[in-house]
Amino acid sequence: MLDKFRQNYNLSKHVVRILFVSGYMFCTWQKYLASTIALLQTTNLPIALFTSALVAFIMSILIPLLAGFLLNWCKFYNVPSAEYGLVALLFCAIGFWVNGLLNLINLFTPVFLVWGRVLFPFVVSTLCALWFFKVTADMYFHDVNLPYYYRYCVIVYFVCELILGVLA
Amino acid sequence: MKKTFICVTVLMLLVMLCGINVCYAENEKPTTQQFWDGFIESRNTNAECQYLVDSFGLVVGQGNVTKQKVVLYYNGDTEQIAYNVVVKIPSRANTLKQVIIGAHYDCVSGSQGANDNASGVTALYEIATSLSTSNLPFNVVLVAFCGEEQGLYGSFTYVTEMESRQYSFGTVADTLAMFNIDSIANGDNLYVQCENVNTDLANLITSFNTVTEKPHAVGTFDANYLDNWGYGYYEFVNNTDHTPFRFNDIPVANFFSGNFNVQVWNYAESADKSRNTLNSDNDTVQSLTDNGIDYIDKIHTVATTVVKTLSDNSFMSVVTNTKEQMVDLVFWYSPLIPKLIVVLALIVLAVFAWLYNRKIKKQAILGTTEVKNKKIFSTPSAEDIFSFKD
Repeated sequence: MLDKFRQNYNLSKHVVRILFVSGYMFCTWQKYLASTIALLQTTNLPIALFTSALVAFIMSILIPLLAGFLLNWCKFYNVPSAEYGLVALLFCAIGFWVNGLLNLINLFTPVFLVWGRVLFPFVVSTLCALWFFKVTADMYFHDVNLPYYYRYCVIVYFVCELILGVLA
Repeated sequence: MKKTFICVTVLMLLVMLCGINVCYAENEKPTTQQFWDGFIESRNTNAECQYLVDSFGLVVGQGNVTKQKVVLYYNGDTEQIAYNVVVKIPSRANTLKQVIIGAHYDCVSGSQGANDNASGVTALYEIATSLSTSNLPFNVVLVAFCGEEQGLYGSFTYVTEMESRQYSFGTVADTLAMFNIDSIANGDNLYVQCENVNTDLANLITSFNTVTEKPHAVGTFDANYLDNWGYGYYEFVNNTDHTPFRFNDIPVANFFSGNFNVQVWNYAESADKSRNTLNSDNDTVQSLTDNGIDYIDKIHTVATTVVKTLSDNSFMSVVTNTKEQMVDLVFWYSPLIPKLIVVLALIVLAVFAWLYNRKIKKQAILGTTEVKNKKIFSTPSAEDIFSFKD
């Protein structure tokens, strides 16, 4: 079955996008439900799900573009950018699904609400970032240019964590 | 002459007493229904405060009823004065320990406020009537708060001024618990909200099988932009007078009515949408009557539950245990500590990242430039694309 995906880029792209969008909705449904309270004074699940799906769809287009841009900016011309972007999207999707599973703790006890909001994304993004680096380093880079790739990955990771995890 | 003078004086006194809004025989306390009717009537002339002073005075003696001045701010600049009505029921024991029982008596502008919160104030009256002859080992203070709809002004002012002990027996430290009653008439089910974890106080209150504890997680959101009071999270049922007491680490029990099985992950008054009258002009006695709601029974249920809880032999130990069981709001609901943990973790990761960088730089000197050229996607063969039929 994996061979079918390896031979069909369009099919893989659509499947990964669906995984990404559904993972994002699963991870953030409570946050969007709270937003409907702020806007409508009451919860509205369909609007919350629609909004999160829309945001996820837009992100699913932007993330591969951003990944390709970063590759070009770092002058890694030998890496197939479309494939690389798809792999990045796949790891984001995995991260959202795992984060969503961890957020289920809030359904049982709200005590961990705020700590979970800060710690769960950090833990999941760190693990996914490490795994992503390992996979892409094995696939596309050799020993000589690996340190350059590693340096840019570390910069991107720490910038994202500081902006989205600490300052947000 | 002397007899004539006495008769005239008695007659004048009788005439004066009959001139009071509620014409009761002297020293006769109104029943719950009479109190309810009189309170709703007093709303028509904005005389709720005086009505409460008079009615509670008949129960506990006018000397135990005072008015506490509260300054309300409309839209942040216009000032208005209102009053909390404070009713003290002293204990026969010589102690500063006290329990506060509160309900706000103001209502949304333009509304009759039958459910929100004539029901709560009436329950307060019934509790006062029951406790006025009780022999509890602690003092009881019943407070009808003003300014709740404008932003909990009455309850915040009361807590702030507790240190002076002018309107309470003791200070915040002497307060065993605070019971709040808000909107108990119209909702489908009666709930009590204590903490978002299991506590002895909640267990005691629910042991009488008259009210259910609010589900801990349902309706709780991590949404800083909705957090009006500084809890660190948002929950609709926190928007009432127990909040200032909770912030001072006083165990609270908030009685209300509603339904948590209607809206997704949120509170609603009733499964019947036409009965959702909270904060609207339809919050009237007529609306309650038309929907066949026995509000007096619900008021009586909550009042009886509160009295039973206070009268329970284990109450003192229960509130002591509950104080230990309360969630530390600063530790658990402030993002500062987890963010500090993240920053520390990032520093540790940065050190490991630097060490790994040194390692791969050494490998780069001795390593190969063999291009791995592994790609995920391969070109399909002709047989995969076309199918040939013989």
